[in-house]
Amino acid sequence: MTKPRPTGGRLSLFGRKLEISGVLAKRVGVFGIEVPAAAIAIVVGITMIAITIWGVIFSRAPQTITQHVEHRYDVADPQFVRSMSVLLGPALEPGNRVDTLVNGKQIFPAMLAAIRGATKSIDFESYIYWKGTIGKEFADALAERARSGVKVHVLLDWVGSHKIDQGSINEMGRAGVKIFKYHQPHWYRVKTLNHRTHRKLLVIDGKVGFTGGVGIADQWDGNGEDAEHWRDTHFRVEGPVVAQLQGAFADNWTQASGAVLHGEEYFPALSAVGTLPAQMFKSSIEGGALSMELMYLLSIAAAKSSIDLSMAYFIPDALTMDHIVDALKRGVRVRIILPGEYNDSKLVRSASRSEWGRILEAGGEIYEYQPTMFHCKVLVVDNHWVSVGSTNFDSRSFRLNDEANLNVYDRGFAARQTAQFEEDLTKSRRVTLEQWRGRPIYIKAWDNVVGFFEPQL
Amino acid sequence: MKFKFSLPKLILVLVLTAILTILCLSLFSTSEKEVTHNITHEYPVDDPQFIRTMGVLLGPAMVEGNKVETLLNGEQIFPAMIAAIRSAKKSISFETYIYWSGEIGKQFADALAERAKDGVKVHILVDWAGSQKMDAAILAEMKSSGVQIKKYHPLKWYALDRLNNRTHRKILVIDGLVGFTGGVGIADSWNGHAQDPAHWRDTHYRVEGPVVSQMQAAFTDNWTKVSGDVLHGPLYFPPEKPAGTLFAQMYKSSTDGGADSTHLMYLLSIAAATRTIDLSMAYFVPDKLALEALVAAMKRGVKVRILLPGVYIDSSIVRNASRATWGSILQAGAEIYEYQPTMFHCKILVVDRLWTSMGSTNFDSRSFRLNDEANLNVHDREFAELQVANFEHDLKSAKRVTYEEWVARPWWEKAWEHMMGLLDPQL
Repeated sequence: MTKPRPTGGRLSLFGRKLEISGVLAKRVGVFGIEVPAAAIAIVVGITMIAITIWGVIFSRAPQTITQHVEHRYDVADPQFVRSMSVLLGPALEPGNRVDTLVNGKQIFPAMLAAIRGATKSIDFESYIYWKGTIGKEFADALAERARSGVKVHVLLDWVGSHKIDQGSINEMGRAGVKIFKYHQPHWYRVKTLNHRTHRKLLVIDGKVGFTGGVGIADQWDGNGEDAEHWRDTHFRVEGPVVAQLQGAFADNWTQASGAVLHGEEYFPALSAVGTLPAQMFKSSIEGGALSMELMYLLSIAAAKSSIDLSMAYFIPDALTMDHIVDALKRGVRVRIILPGEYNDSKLVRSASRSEWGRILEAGGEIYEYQPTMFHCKVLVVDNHWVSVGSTNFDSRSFRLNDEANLNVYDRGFAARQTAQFEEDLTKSRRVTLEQWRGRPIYIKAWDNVVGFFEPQL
Repeated sequence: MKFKFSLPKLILVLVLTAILTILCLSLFSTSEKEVTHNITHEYPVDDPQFIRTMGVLLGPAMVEGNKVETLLNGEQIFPAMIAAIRSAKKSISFETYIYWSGEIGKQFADALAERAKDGVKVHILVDWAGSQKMDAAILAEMKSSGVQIKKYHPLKWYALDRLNNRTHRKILVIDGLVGFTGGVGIADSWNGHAQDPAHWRDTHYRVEGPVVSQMQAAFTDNWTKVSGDVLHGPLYFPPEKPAGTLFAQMYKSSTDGGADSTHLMYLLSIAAATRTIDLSMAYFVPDKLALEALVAAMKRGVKVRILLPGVYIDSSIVRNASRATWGSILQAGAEIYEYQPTMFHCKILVVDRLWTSMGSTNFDSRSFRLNDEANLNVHDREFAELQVANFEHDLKSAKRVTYEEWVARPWWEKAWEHMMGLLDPQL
């Protein structure tokens, strides 16, 4: 005789007893053991969650460059300008003026003055916006302009701006500023969680633009004088290329709000105000995927005499590394300034260090900036071609985030950046191959473990 | 009652659930960048602001000095394309959705293989889904001659979420100097001169001048995605020389690149119209936003004429879904015509007899949000007049559908159309 099968049951989950009944209470044999259907449902559920997380973490841009970009022409060749113009989207345009702003002391007053001078529109996109004096000043200035009838659009990354003062958001909202958070998590868009906007754009009346490394936080204030005041470079732009800066903003704004920014207020007619040929291009997993990596590879492949790279986060992948080593073999001098002890991400520093071997062996010069966190993102090739903006030299910038960079093709402008580079060099310490090889074993091991996560850093 | 799950069955159930989940998610994952607010009319197409907007919002700016020849039907299109292929000295870049066997497919394959044997770099990118009927012998012939052939988004277990995103771009570029785009696929249905239902009506374009580098870039974009290789240098991007007087731009859109550009281009063009919109469209399933934009244009006094396929259509689902959407625009005064002699495959928009957009893009959600597309825009009055002349010539073989006729359809037709209309996001 068999006992009557129970029609209901209990399941212990996290210490709580759950009453189960109906179909979930049915018992099913697995490996010859009878388990409630509820248990199977839980297993299926966990599998699905695992798949989703796997999807979030490993979803990368679909297009990846896998083949070496050969050195076929150098930066001075018109072919180089054509490649950059057609492959990155918007073409290089003549007639621009770009002012170099060094550290918060110069950067913030210039940005705030431009905001206060706005008469039609202000478009502002940032990754970092943290609570503090600088954050308050920006919020006040933006709110004041919005109250005067200027159309103010603020797009902040949801992750990068989590430390923002809610009071500032309320203040701006009340004043009529339109604020969107980029990729706020939604259950139906889990995959986008890993894709942040890292673009740093400020456009005033469609006529004056800013881009560079700076985030809105007190860490960027001052003059790089101590650990609490970082070293960074930002740029103020005027001329026809500002329409391309505005285009990069409008792209993300449509994505976040569904509205299209167009017309005179945002895209006025722009005449030449300077002599610099320049281009602003964007990249994102959703739009123009690998443009950023493409720009770096084409630039490195074109280098003939020198590459000077100021880089806050430097974790090249194997392909980029090959290109740097190749350039060194062609006789290109490669100098790289990175942050030293003062680094806001120890993980990045470790992962970065695990990769220096090949560059140092091939004769590359690597320097660590001593006084404070070094947050610049500036590439200068052959003292002729300059790329600046939000982009770090890592997989997160190349493949996961939305980025935008300004490229300037001018020897005078490049010389100005090289002079700044060499000034930073005097405050940096060189890392030799011997020192690198002589790291204690536990540091090497740790660097390599962290380096394993390169695709996400 | 006792039922037992064996281990293999359990695993099977788990795997199937996972696959189903991914498939469902992928069906609903369209481009994230979506225009949801209507665009107001602020400036007409002859305003410099319009040209600036198109330049900065779609990517590459409009460039001067181009020549664009209009080719009608396979009879003019295929000989021009094959002649260009035969003249190639450095490189041939060819991307198409449909490439299958048949007389035309064979002619192209022979010409491409012959050039590859001669040392010309030949890159062919065909959509995996669109090219399912491709003849294996043709493929083998081209591969053995040195043609590089790649399939776009093939079925792979780890990329199921991409299965719904196809490349629909139709681009042929010779030596980086001569380009072709338009509606044509490489198949016998396009041959001839639209003389009967087996020979379709279509328009394609032969392009010379600086804008060809933008066409080449639209190709290299997808080529890099598929092969990991970057095409650059003078073989593909030679110095640009003016070849004519037309002001033109080639822009691309895809779910993972420039997302909503196509939708944006159509909405901005419709919003800018002040007098006329003449649309030749193979597949017309407008979304709510596009319908509202058309109605708003007609309220401004714009005359809207739309020419669509009639009974001869390769997808009756699309025709039904299309019909379901006509009410509001017919009521607002739009003239809708159905082309009678054969399948009508043109995809051409002409606004105010000045602004023309043509290429691979259909007026539906699949083109606006799911597929990779590329269109050529030309800002020129004479060129637009020529397109309108072709449009009006086609109208002579078309039958108008009035609002009264549309309302008076039998109820079962309406019901069926509405059911098909539910598929709109996928069409």
